[in-house]
Amino acid sequence: MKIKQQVKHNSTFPIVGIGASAGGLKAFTQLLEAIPPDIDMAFVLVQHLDPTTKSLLSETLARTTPLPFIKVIDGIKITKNHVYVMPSESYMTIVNHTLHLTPRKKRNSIHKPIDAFFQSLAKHHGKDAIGVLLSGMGNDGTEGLRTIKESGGRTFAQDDSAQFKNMPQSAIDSGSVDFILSSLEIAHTLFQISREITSGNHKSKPEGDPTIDAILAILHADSGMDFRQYKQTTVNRRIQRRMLLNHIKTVKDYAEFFNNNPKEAEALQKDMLIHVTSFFREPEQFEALKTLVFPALAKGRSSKKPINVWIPGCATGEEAYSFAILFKELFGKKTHRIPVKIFATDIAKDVIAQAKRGVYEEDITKHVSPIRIRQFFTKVTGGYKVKKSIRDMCEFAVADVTQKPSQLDNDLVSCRNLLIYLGDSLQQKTLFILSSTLKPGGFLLLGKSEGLGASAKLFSPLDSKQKTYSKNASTSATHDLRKTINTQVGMSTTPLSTHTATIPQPVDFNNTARQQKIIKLKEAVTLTQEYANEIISELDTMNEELQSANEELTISNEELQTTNEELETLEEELQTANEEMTTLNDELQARNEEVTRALDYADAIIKTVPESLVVLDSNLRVKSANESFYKIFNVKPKDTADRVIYDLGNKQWDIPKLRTLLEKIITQKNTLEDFVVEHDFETIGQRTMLLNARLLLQGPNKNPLILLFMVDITEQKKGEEALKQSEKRLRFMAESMPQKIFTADSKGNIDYFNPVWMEYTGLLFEQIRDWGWAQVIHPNDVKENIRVWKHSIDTGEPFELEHRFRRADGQYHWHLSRALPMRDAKGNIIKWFGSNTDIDDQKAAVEQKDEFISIASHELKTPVTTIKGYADILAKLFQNTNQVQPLNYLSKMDFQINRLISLVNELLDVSRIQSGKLQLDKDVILIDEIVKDVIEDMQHTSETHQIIFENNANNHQILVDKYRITQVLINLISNAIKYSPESDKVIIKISINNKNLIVSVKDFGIGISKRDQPKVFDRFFQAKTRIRESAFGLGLGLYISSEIIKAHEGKIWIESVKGEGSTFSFSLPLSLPRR
Amino acid sequence: MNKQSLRSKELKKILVVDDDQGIANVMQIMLDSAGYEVNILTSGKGIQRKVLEYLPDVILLDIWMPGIDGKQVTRLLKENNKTKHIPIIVISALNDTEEIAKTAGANDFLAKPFEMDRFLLKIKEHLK
Repeated sequence: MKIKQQVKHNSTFPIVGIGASAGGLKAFTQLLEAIPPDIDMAFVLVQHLDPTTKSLLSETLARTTPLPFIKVIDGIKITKNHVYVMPSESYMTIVNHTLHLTPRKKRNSIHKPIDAFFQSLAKHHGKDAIGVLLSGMGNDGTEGLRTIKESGGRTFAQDDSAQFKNMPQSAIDSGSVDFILSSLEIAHTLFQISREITSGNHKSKPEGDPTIDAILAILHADSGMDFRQYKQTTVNRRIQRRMLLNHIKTVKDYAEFFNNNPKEAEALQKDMLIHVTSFFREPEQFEALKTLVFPALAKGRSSKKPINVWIPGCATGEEAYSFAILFKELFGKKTHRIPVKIFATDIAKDVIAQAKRGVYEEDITKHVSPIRIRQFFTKVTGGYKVKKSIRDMCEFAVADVTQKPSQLDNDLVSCRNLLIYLGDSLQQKTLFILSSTLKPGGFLLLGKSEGLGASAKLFSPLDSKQKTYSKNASTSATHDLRKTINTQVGMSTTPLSTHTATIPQPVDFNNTARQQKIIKLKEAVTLTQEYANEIISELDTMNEELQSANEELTISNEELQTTNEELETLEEELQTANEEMTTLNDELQARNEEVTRALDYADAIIKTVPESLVVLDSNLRVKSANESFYKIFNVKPKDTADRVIYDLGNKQWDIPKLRTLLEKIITQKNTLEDFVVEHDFETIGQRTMLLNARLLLQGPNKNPLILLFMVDITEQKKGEEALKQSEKRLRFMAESMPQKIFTADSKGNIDYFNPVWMEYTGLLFEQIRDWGWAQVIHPNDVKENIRVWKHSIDTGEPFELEHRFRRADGQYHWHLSRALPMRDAKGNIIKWFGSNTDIDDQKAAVEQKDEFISIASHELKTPVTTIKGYADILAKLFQNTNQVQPLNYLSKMDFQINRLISLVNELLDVSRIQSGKLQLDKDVILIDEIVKDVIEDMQHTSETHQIIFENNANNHQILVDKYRITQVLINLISNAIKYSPESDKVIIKISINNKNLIVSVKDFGIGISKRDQPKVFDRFFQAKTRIRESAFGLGLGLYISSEIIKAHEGKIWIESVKGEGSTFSFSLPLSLPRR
Repeated sequence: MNKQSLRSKELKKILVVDDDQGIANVMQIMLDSAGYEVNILTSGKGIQRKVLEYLPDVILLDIWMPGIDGKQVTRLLKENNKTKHIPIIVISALNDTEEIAKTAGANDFLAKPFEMDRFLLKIKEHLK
């Protein structure tokens, strides 16, 4: 209390504690950069020991802020508008604006300097404390921020912008962070806070304000949580906190803010509830449970009746689990196990969820003994999980104890440190609720600083020091103190007020003296009665006062408790600091060695680089030079040392332009970049040199030195000249060509069109350069053109496309455009070269040819239809007579007509194939059925050959153009028959091989020589036959078949031995599964 | 009623539309031999009126004809409620006869040149 008093009298200002670890330098720098020098806050940086943050103290950091930058020494007193940085490997605390340093004690223990500092900041500076947690690993700072928040300070954590998110995220997860922002936003918010403080409007107290009641009413309606009957001071403090956090000055403004921000209700409600708990909190109370309460509960109990325990206000569940563990320890080993049901409730959902998980941080070992840890917990990452056997004993639910009971027929109710937050009437209501759930003789456990107050009659104390009570058998809540007193003075139980007004009438008295005595006695009684009455009312008042005083103390008690815990942590951590110091020393030594190594390394590089390097002093005298310099200029170190550069090698360096430039470097602190000198050097002749120079200020006196780099670029210069010449030649060629030529850069921007281009389009280069050419492409082609061009640019694949270009007169001509990339030695594209060829005439010719063939075939077929028709009619007529000869002639005629038809069709197909118009009309079919149909048809017309079918691919579905595949089969089978006149069979085989259907047609005929085999699928190839007349057609059949199979993405091939026969096969991809 | 008159009453009517007189003659002979009543038009001119007068059971239609072509004829007849039920078989020497028949909305097609048996079978299929 004393300290707090002093702080108040001091001129107070906010103290911003900043915790940073790995990756924190950047965030810290950003934050400081945005802080104005008159912010009226002090900044204290606590860094974590981490190799990557060692440079935090570097001078670069000091330059980022206008605020004075001070490295902390022990006992330094802080002032506002300064930045203090804690040296690494130590612990720092702050008491009354004074920073204290202690070395880190033990190695191998958790080093938490941020927690340590934040906790002391919270303890000694309360509301003035601001905690900021930036990037880092681990969870240091989480505890510290919580303490700052609890003691009314403000807390910040860096958001996702943190390079390492662990450290700020841990604090955010714990729920003790007010602002989650980027480092820049943190700076802005700090500035805002500072301005609000200076304007001094934060003193307004919300106490007794009807606006608060309104806020609480809304909160009640929203969340179902009624804080109106909570202790006024607690409520006011919490609301004031929210006001500070949101930069709001008056309660009225806050009410408005509260109404307009739905999220604020949740935030306020969360802030109202304080969750402080730990395992086996108040060990003396647990001792009382162990020795008094639990044995009494177990006594004479049958295993069928479980012990019911209710723990309202259980927070994160530590208390419930502690009870369960204690039960297990006491009764677990006994043969007749006593079932225990611990029902724990809390008003806050999030803490109940945490309680159900039963996972706690590693530091629970402070409160839980190693034996208990071993027996009742399992180790999980970052902490311990309560074992299932213990978890099974406990049940958790969300409930408000101040409203209604959650579990009846309890043997024990433990309600510790909950009543302290409630107003008096709500305390009594809650105690009544608690007592109503207890069985007669059941036990009640309260917090160490809580009492029964007016409800004392409901319970009898069992151990009043440990706040252990048992429920009275016949008590009722209406049985109050007055009633008891009235009974004791022998009066009726009617209210005293009536007795003082009317004195009872005397009854049956004979003796006057006696009567008078009686009257006196009566008066005396009345007086006593009145006196008693007064005492009672005084007692009432005193009781209330004591109660509230008690509760104020209770809250201080809780705060002290927290501080105590922090101190313990601090002490432990201090122990670790010493050994960390030793490490730092080792590391410094290692750093020294590194520096030496780096110097050697740099030396070696300078010696070996091919560029010449000369170091000159401010008088342009040569200080030193590297090997390359001596070698290139053919000079020796002794000839150059300490000589002015212009005097070197017969004054060959005395070049006027170089003189002015070098002198400028010294006087104007210039650098010399890529200065080209063409000079006839005496030692090495005509050379082109590229010079670079920069000024270097060395040593404590900042002596200027000039580093002069020289590269001989004579050869390079020559190469460039040659390149220019060849470019000129190319340009000339391009400009004299009748074809359209262009070039583009690696990104596809056209940077050159030859004059033919401009002539054809009638546009200027400026109009069509880059992507401007798109305007002269036919509207139907332009989209595809851009797509294909972009694809080539992206992939480096050659560009080729047919499209229409608009001529100056508005007509479109078909062009074939091509472009190829030119690459450098590394394979990167440096340029595209392209041409556009006018193919309009060829295009038209092809179209004309297609049209001509189409008309020709129609005109040929028309008379053939008539001839064929008459032949058919004639055959029908002769069939009815018995004249064989005419029928014979007619069948020969029919054969020739069919030849004619197939010739016309073949020509048509070839024309289609050549103009790329062979279109497939695909259907799913069964391959063996098609083959069977074709064989059946062919067998009818062949009298000489038997067509044998070997089917090894039953019921295989395939996606093909049925008409075209039939055409191929007919072609192969008729060829087989045709070219094997002396054989009597043809074998058709179908099979499946590796997702392909294979069809082969085998004959035993004349065969094809090895030499001719590759040509059989060419156009107009025809096998030589001995019987000339049996070969018909133009030799287009196999060519067409091969094109059809290729269009199906299949393959066709031949195996043949001259004189033994041929096998033609084709394969088609099987895209569909077997049916 | 005697057999003869019954028969003549049942005689199915075929309308042939083809600008090539030779082919029209061949088809007429074939259809006569199969016992159909045949009427020939050598152009598509005034086709709607003529079809409504004659009311054929099947129409055999060429594509390439001077003036109005087979595709237009098919469309006209298929768009008319009174004629759209009459089956139209497109018979053409064009390479893509099938495609043309489908897109124009004809009922069937036959490529020229054709076998007599196939020709008669196709007509029979549409007379049921």
